[in-house]
Order: sequence, then structure tokens, then C-alpha cells
Amino acid sequence: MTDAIRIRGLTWKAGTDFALRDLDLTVPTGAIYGFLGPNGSGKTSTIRLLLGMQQAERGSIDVLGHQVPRDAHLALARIGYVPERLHLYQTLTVGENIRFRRAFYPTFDDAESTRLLKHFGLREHQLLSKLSKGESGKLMMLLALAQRPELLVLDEPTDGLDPVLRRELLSSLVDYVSANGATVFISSHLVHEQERICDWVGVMDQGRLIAELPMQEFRSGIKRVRLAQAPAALVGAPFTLLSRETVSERVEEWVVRGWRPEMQQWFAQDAATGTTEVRDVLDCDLEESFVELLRGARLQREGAL
Amino acid sequence: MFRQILFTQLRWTRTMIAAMAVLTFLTPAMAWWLGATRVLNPLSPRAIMAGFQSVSMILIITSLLGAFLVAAYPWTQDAAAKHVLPLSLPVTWRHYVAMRFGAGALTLVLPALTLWLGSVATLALIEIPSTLRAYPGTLALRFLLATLMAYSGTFALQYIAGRRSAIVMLVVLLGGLVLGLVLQFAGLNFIVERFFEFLTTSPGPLAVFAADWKLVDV
Repeated sequence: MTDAIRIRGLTWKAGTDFALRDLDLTVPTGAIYGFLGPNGSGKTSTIRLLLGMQQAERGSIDVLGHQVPRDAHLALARIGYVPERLHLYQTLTVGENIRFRRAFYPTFDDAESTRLLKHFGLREHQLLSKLSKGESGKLMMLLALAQRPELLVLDEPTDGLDPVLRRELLSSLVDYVSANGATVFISSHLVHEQERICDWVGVMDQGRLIAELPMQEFRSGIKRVRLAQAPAALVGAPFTLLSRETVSERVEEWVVRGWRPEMQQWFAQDAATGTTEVRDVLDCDLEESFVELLRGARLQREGAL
Repeated sequence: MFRQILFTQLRWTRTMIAAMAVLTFLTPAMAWWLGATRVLNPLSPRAIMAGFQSVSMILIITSLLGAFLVAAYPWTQDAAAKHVLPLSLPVTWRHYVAMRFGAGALTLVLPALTLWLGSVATLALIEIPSTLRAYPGTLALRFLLATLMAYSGTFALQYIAGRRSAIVMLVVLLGGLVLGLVLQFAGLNFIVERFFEFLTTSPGPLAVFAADWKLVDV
């Protein structure tokens, strides 16, 4: 089975302040891939590049077997895209926007469009400029789902929406995916939202993909480990140290990635001092894991670890 | 696809197109009315001839302004969302731009058509030789070419220069003006004259606007 999205060595610069650097990213077919990252980390730029809206300086992008940007139009026929902000014609009505979109997608499902229109409580004659933010979000989701895409690319689709509406949009998405087996690439900085629906996670920070792992691993693999007489240097550790903090004179708290219970033995047998004692291993919730991943990546770049 | 592009084009520019259509329909009648006051027999070809050159400026301004608005307004609709919608559609950018251009050009046929109708209606009041009955068609064609010329220029400038197109236009106009003044002061006025002659006489790019717009030239 081919990957739905495959990005290799992608480099792109926006002015002098921001760049995506050597980005490698893989979204398996059928996965719901959460693309996490703080604001300004490069999520939207990556999405625009993978849809062929911008041209990379270097690297390759393959979406649903099509090379982008060369064959972006072929890939786009099979992609449902919900951008960060309303991109539809605001001087047209809901119905006119639906008809406009329908003309470009042979797979557009009228019955599904009508069903979702009713489900979301939208009216055909409403002018887009008069829609609330929530209604605009619903319409964009309706258009993306009604075209029956194989891949859904959603750029912060629930940003700024109330929890009820967020839940409504995400459940429509989950319903579609479970019925059609589509692949989803969803960017967000709302970690808990991703936890509920995603099975893969990619974390962006300052133009770099700092982690790409299955959600299960993300959920359970990042721990806070309290150590007495922690070694100063870490050589050949079977986990990745994300950060370390001194708690008291003898005790340090480490945040580690890729932790498994049997690794406690490593401190006794292999760690430099041999006198390290694991006092406690604490779970991190998803948001903590996310923050610690970012912190670890930044400390590593600064050479502080 | 093209039908929907055409639909949006009409939705956005229908008021402009309608205004152009009304104006061009009435222009031949205005020409005749103006001319009729200057000649003895208001129902003679002379009447319309006398008036037509006076109202030709209306046609030139209508074609320039109308073409500019018909090209500019749809572009601003796409630019409002940074062209994300057309870029996310499953057609190449060239294909989209070609459809957008075609739709705008097609809507501009309507004012040319009403000019033809207005001319035919006006000429029906006047006794003219049958060989001159083709002039309404020629006039409408000329108006259409002038409009498409202005439309193509504005459209191309916008899709090349984007939001900077207004600045580009201003720089070209002011630059031309300053250069003209400098040449005049330097005693090289003939260069400016030659340049304008090149632009406004056939086959120059602006000849379609500048030459004689008389409906009946006998």
C-alpha cells in the first residue's frame, strides 16, 4: 500500500524569518494524521506546499501517487480541503457556492450535500458574508465531505469554534472516514482534540518536524522520571532525553521519550555512575507531552542537552 | 466548470454590464439627436454623421471604464482570500485564468450587441443608401475590439502584478508624463509625437480608440 502523503527533504523559505527545513513526512493511507505545532511553526505552509499552492525550493512531494506541484490538479480532484480561513466567495450565497464547487468535482455527491446542509442547519439562500464563523466552518466542511474525497486536508478546521460546534464538525468527519476509509491530514494546535480522533501524530516546531509517531506511542511513550543521583552525561540510553530539571540537591526530574518499564534496569546496569536510582515514573498527559516535545527539541537545538 | 465561472462573473459585474449596455444602446440615438439640431433635415444621414463624432468619446470612455471594472472586480473577489479557492480547485492555474478571462470577455459582448441594436434602430429612422446598412455591425465590432483590448490589458496586468497592478499603472503613467516633459524641455518633442503616432495610428495598439468613430462616413 502506498502512502497517501510522502514528503522528502522539503525546504521552503518565506522571507528571511521563516523556513521549512529538510522536512520528511509520511502519512499512511487510511490514517488520521494529526499535524500538531504551535502557531507559526509551519503547519499551514506545509499544507499549502502539499496542495501545490506554493513551490518548494528543494525536496519532493507525493500526494495520492501524484507529484506535486507538477500534477497538483490531479491530486486536488481527490482531496477535500478545508483551509484555516474562509476561502469561498463571500458575495455568493451558500447554494451558489455549493453549485460552483460541484461543477469542478465529478465525484460530488448531491444527496450528501443536501443531507449535510440540513444536518448543519445551513440555508441555501444565506449570503456567505452574513454567516457566522461557525456556519462558515460548517459550509467548508460540507463542501469538503460532499465531494467524496480520498484524502481530507484540514487546516485548523475548528480553530475559534465553540466546543459544541467543534464536536459536531469532528463527528461528521469521523462518520465520513469510518464509512469511506479516507485518509485525513488535520492540523491543529488543540492537542486534546487530536487525541480523540488521530492514530498518527506529527509535531512541527520552527519549520522542523520534530516527531512523527503513532498516537499510542505519543500517548504512552513520554514520561516524567524522577531520579536520585542522575548521571551528568547520557551515553547509549535506550530513550530520548527531552529535558532535565533539578528538583532537590540529589533528585532530578527527566522528561524522556520512548520510555518502557524495563528501562529502569538500564540505570542500574549501564548508566555512567551505576548508582542512579529511579524514584518515580509519572505519565504525562497529551498536552504535557506536546509541550515537553517542543521544549526538548528547542533545548537540543540550543545545545543545552 | 466554465458555466459556473461565467455565472460568478455575471453575478459580480451584472450592474456594470447592464449600465454599459444601456449606455451603448442609447449612444446612436444621442448622436442622431445631437446631429439633428445642427442640420436642416434631421432624418438625413448628415444628422447622424454630425452627431456621432461628438459622442464617440462616450463610447471610448465606456469601453475603457467598463473593461477595467469587468477585469478588476472578479480579481478582487479571488484576491480577498489570497486566491486560495482557485488554487485549491482541481484545474491548473492557467486553465482557471483562461476560463476567468473567457468569461469576462464573453460578458463584454453584450454592450457591443446593444450598440449594434441601438445603431440599427436609429438608422431605421433615417434614409440611407442600402450599402451603408452594414455600418452598425462595423461600429459594434470596433467597440467590442476596443473593449477587449482594454480588458485584456487590465486582466493581464492584474494577473502578473497582482496587488501591485495599481502601482504599476501609476508608475507607467507618471513615468511617461515625466519623460514627455523632459523630452519637450530638451527640444526632442518629435520623439513624443512619433511615439503617440505609433500608438494611435493603425496598426498601433491604441488605434482602435483614437481613429474616426463616425457611424456613417459618406
